[in-house]
Amino acid sequence: MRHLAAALAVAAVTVLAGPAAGAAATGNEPPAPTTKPSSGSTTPGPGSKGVTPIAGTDRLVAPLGVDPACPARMEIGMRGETGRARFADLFVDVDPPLGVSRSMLSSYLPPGHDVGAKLLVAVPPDTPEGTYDLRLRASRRTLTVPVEVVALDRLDNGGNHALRRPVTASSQHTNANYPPCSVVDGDPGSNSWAGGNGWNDATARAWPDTLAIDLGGPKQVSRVDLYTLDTERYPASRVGLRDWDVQTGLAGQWRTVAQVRGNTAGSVRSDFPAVSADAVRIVALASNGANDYTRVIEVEVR
Amino acid sequence: MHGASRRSLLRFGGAAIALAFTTNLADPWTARASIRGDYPFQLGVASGDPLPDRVILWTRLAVRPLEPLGGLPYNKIKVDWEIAEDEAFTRRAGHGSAWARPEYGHAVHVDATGLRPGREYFYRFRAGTEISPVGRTKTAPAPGSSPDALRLAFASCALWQDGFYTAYRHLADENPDVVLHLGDYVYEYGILPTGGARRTAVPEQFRVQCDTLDRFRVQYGLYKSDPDLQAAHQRAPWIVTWDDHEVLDNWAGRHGPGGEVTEQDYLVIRANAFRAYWENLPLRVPAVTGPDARLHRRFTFGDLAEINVLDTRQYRDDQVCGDGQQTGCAERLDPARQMLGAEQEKWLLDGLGASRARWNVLAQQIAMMQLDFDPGPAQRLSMDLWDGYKAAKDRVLQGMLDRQVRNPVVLTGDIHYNLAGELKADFDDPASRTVGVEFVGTSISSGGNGNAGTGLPPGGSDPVNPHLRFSSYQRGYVSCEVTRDQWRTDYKVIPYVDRPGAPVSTRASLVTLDGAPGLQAL
Repeated sequence: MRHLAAALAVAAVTVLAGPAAGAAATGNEPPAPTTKPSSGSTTPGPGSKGVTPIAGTDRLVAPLGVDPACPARMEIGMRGETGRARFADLFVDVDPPLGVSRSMLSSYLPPGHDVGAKLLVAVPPDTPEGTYDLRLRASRRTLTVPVEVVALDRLDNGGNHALRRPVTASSQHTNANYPPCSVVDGDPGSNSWAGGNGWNDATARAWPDTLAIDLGGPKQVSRVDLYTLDTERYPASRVGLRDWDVQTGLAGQWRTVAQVRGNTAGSVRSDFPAVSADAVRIVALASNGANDYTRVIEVEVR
Repeated sequence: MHGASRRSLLRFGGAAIALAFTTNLADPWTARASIRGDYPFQLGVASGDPLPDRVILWTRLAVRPLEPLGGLPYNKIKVDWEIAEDEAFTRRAGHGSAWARPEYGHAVHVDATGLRPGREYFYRFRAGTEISPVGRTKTAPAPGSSPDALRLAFASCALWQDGFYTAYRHLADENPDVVLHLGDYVYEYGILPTGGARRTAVPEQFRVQCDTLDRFRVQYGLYKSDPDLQAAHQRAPWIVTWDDHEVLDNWAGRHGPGGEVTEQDYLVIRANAFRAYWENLPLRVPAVTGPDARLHRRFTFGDLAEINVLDTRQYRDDQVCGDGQQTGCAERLDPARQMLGAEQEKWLLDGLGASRARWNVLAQQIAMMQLDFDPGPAQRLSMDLWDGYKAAKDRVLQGMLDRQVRNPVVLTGDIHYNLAGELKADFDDPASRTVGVEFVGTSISSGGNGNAGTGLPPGGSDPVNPHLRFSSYQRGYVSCEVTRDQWRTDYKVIPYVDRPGAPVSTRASLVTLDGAPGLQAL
């Protein structure tokens, strides 16, 4: 039976396109191992031979003091050197006191494809700013990715005042991972819905639902972009947010600066005369479709 | 990984520091090769796929079950096993050694052969100096024998964070001859820190949905750490099949969730899911090596019963009309659409045609009887169930009529609801022939406590679905006593799952008689 909220789950594995996605290959590789369950006494090594560790970024910025439900994340993966399918292993570790969400990545590795997965990097609150090494190891090769730990106020937010700021929501669905802080994680894509990249409230058919972002002090604000769930299988016109008010707050006083009604698109830009605000609040009033949950992927404030 | 990061990665990958070879990390090859201290049988023991002369014995070594390698080194580990006719192991019937290999999550599958038919056995494992709990199992009766009775139980749908597995504990206490698990044994969903209805702390690695093999492995580690589930495995052999949540919600053949998950992504997830399923269950099928794995198979219990275990997910066409419940969806009638796939459908009908068993069982996932969800005159049907594959359903039901299959009994999971009904040649004509009966079992925990106040009393009449004879929305399992003259089904329910210790009671008992398809309430 389809669960209303979790039916929207989209898994986080991504198969990366072609050799261009990977790190540079080096040298000649030994032949791929045989992994028959009843094979003899030789033990395969950690991971499979002929597998190269790869990463989705050459460095990772990890802000200090953010909600631990939304840690810094990146893609890690493996690329097979040969044209045959196999199951393969990648081992992950990071300099303390940082932590990683997985100590290894094991996956089917189809021929001609690379397999990646999300890696979360946790930064304890008292971590000194600086650069820490993240290591990815497969087939006795290690790829090192620097992790730069920076204070939130020194984070380059590209003009988006909401990025990585504290978020409070009226409720949170508990069927999967829908943290409110994920609406300010800088990822407006609907991928990995239910896997930590979007907020789903807990009150079906009950309105309004609210989502408030603390901007960390007064800012001049004239534009809010809201991204609701929108994929091919789960289009915004069927499961996305339909009606909402955009409010700005200053010293606890809220005012409505824009209204959106009848939306069927994946994202909506609301422009309004510039105001000084230390917070922005989305007041959700209705969704498309019968499920009637609020599903928000990202909110950007400029 | 998209354009920008790909370019930067390539640039970075060309630099010497990006891809350094290092020797300063601990090499798992050189880690300890034997078990020390920690108890390695924390995931329990299991048996399954019983034949007259053999049964699969299973365990998976883990000293820290919530870690991908179970807290063990990347090494193979020797495991001894033995099976005996008595619980004290004085009449040993077989023994040997096997390797627990890291590339299979340190799982062990032993096919213990040379056993006697229709007998109870006891088994255990040893790794290093540690000895596993003792499991009870039972072989199938001899081919050609005429057993008087078979006691089986079936269950499905055990979302961990929705509640405790008390129903599994009560199932264990019945010591059935065999347990059928009809799918949703695990769910792929991420789990919150508070552990949902269990209010049990769950570590960080469980937040994201299952996709990679290491993630699926820790999900099984969590599920299989449950003492009630372990008890159910420990007390009887299981015959299992998967439904959708062992992979992804409502997957259908080669059709995954779509959107940004390409078919290739989805097949990687499916391969990882299948592999983890194989590692964690007592199956007699080849080790999974990719996204295709045959699970359908057949078990014979003398001339009393034959069980056809089906896979209604892997070979089906995609759900039509957008899935969900739909009114007036014409595509569901398309005769070209497959539920079992042509090969499995032929295998099923050929097997049913050749069967000499008195009771012919389909152990499968989704409701076969028509279920109209609209209380009014309109017909609202679920596109994920057999109703969404009407022609395929008719081929199976008509195929059973054509072959004069004796006493078809369909056992079903998936929908978290107890239902008992008659399978009709034409569900829209209550006067049409009754082909057989279907028993749909509720969930172990999925959906939470349930509601004792709803449902159709046994023997009652539902105006919208006149073939339905009983329903209830409570948690539990189903217990069946199969004898030569009748099949008796007892629906066992518990009042709550949000805390441990719920008592069990029988909500309904229904009987179908040999040669007289239909249901009678007791």
